[in-house]
Amino acid sequence: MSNILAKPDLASQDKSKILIVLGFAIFFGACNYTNQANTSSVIPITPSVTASPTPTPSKSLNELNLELNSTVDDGGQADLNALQKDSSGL
Amino acid sequence: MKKFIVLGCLFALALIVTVPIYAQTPSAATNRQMRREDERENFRSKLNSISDEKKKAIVDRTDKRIVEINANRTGIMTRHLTKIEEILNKIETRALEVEKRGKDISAVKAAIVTARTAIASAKSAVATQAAKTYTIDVTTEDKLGLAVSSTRTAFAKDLQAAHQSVVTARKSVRDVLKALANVVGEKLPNATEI
Repeated sequence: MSNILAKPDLASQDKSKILIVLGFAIFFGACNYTNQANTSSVIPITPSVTASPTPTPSKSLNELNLELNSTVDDGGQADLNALQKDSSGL
Repeated sequence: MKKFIVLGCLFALALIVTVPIYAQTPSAATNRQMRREDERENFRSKLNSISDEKKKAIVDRTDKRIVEINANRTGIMTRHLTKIEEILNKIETRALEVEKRGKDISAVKAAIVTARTAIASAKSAVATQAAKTYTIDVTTEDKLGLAVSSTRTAFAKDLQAAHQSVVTARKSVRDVLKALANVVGEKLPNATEI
């Protein structure tokens, strides 16, 4: 009984500590290595040019007219025609 | 211990007295929603009573396509109106710059007011159209074609009316652009409204 409760000797305590520290060192080392492996092939690209503080020049009336043209469509006529065609079988 | 029980009871009583009780009256929107759901349910049950599977499939597909087209087209119209309004804002900025240089832009300003009204009207029309639902009135198998045709026609008419309001809004912005072009002496190609 006294043997079980007896404190382990100093040498075995040191051994355990060393093993734990070594384990952590290997673990962190492995983590670092993996990170390096993951990032080594990817070169981070940081934008070197920042947004210009000066406002963009105002568009010409012709450009605005062209922009307005981009909002023109057939109003869904093609969809409605397809719908009519599909339901014509009734 | 007794003290705690009495205090607890008092606390519970206070909570009951102070918490307001709201009447569970359904709003108009909820009523509308319930009516729509009833209509849908009625449509589904009538559709299931049709024996011709091919006809049943066509009616079902038409019903779904109307919902899809309505959502898709009103979405596009809303995006177009946002764009049209953005363009009007840009034109207005340009007009104010021109005014600072001493030009008379009263015609442009009047056109801007008209355009803003047209855009607001179109937005309202598109929102109304987006909220609309269409139910094919299934009665008997021999009247299926007529029922589908009348629903489809009503939907097409409504959709085209909403589209026309967008066209009117765009035309009114184009008029602003033309008025400003007149002031600054620029020519606008492709300025015809579709």
